Amino acid sequence: MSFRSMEQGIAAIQSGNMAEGARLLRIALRSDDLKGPLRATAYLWLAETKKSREEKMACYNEAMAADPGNQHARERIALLYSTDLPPVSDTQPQPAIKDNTPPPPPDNMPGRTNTQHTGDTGHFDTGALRSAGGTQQNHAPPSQRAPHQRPQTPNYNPNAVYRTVGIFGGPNGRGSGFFVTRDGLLATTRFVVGGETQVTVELEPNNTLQAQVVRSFPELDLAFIHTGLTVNRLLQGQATPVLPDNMPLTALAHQRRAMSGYVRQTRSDTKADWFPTTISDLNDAGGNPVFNDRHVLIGMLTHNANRTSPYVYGININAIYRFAEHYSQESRSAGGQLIYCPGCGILSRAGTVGGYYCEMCGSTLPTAENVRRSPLPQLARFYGETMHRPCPNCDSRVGFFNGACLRCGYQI
Amino acid sequence: MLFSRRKPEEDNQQPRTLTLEHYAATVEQILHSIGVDIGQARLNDVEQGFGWSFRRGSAIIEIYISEQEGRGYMQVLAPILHVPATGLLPMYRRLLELNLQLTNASLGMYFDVVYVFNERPLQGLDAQEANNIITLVAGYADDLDNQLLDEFGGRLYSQA
Repeated sequence: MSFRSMEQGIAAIQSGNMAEGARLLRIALRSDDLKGPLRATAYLWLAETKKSREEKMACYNEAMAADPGNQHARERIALLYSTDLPPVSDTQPQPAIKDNTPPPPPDNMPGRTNTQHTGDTGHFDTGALRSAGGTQQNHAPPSQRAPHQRPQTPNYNPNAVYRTVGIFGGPNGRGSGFFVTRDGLLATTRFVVGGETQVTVELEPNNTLQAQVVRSFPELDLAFIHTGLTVNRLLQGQATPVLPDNMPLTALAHQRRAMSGYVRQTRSDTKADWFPTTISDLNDAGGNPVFNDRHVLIGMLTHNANRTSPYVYGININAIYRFAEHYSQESRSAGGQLIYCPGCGILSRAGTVGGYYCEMCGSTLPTAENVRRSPLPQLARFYGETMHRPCPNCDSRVGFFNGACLRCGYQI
Repeated sequence: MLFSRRKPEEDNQQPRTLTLEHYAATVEQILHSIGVDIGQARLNDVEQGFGWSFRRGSAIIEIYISEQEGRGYMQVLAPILHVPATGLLPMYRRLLELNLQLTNASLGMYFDVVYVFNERPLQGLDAQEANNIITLVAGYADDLDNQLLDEFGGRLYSQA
């Protein structure tokens, strides 16, 4: 009877009926028949119906009491402690499994998990329960995968809201990022990705994938990473060009403690698209989504401070959306053929016609790194070397700076 | 050829115990010891000081000893390449990247020629160190000239 109630409760939650799901789970939990991992699973699902941190924590603690080794409960508690997440009223659990397909058979193969993590909101596959009436092996903890190892298929739920993701493999240590488009474009800082073309993205512990850095804007310390994932639910952003002074802020670092502060009052002019904060100690390399007191996304925290104070700046979410759109148009206009230059962050056109070097910064493009390179005078137009007026001394058309030929230094 | 340099901020008043002629003699001893024909190498049109030019491997080495604002210097240069007429942006970037990798030498340009360059005050210079500097600059020039030519074009300085 208790198993039946539990199953019905989980099904109700999956269909979006939280109240009914909670009621059925409470009925199931009244019975002493529900023990060990099954009881823990019931509490974990019950936690999904709770909105407050305290109530969730109470459920997790009950789950730990029922099954002290329960990995899921442990992870949820750690997550709750570490990120200090705001309430998730707009991100209630989505069904992790939408159909009624039979549960997977007991699976002892390495690398397989029968529990689906679906982002910070946390959902659990009921397959384990249904196979049961509760066989113990189906509650075995998910197998551990080494960090930074590419999963065969990314384990994610497109309907989950990923508040943060972790970004590894950059030159300045781990950073954070968040999705800004439904086709899986992540925003983070240029400081986090540096000159890398590929980084490791961690959706949640032990669930990583390799992703490509596709565009960066060093002048704004902004970078975009393409994950190839489809994300149906994005963080809710607020288009506010100017943030009022002293507005409370919360910045989330992936799997680490949240950072709280305010929009800092400053007499000095702040550049457009930036906002000053009272946050001085980042918990990672940056790229943290910043929320206001209504838990609406308003920007991203960077590692940049001015010369006279340790307080870091954030980038307004308006600018992030604007540059994401800019990248999208840029990419579409060339049919996705442009080549990302990790040196300066642009999408190079020279590379699409056989050029070896970025037309903006001159650095060698990734596509030309390991090839034998030779002069290509026919590509001079990409590098601005087709000036109408040649140098009277060397006859080159590379142009002049301060009245001197850029090639031979001849003063005209 | 002598490049201009920053004005020394101090040590202008330090007594010079050795003259330029003394250092010139030292340089000629070194050049002689490494098989350079001094008579051929000596440059006679140096305005302030002494100069020599000779080949070391595929590189041309120029050495100047001069006095600037009361202080003596030795410059060792290796002109390696006339820059090409196109593709300057990537080449200039590469030169700066290489510059960061060189030890005790730097890359620079004078008119349209790329140089490997080292400069050192004469005070305290001995034959061993001078020889090391010449060997270092010649080695870099030897390594870089064909590498830059193959990738960016232009013309080797040593070619007519």
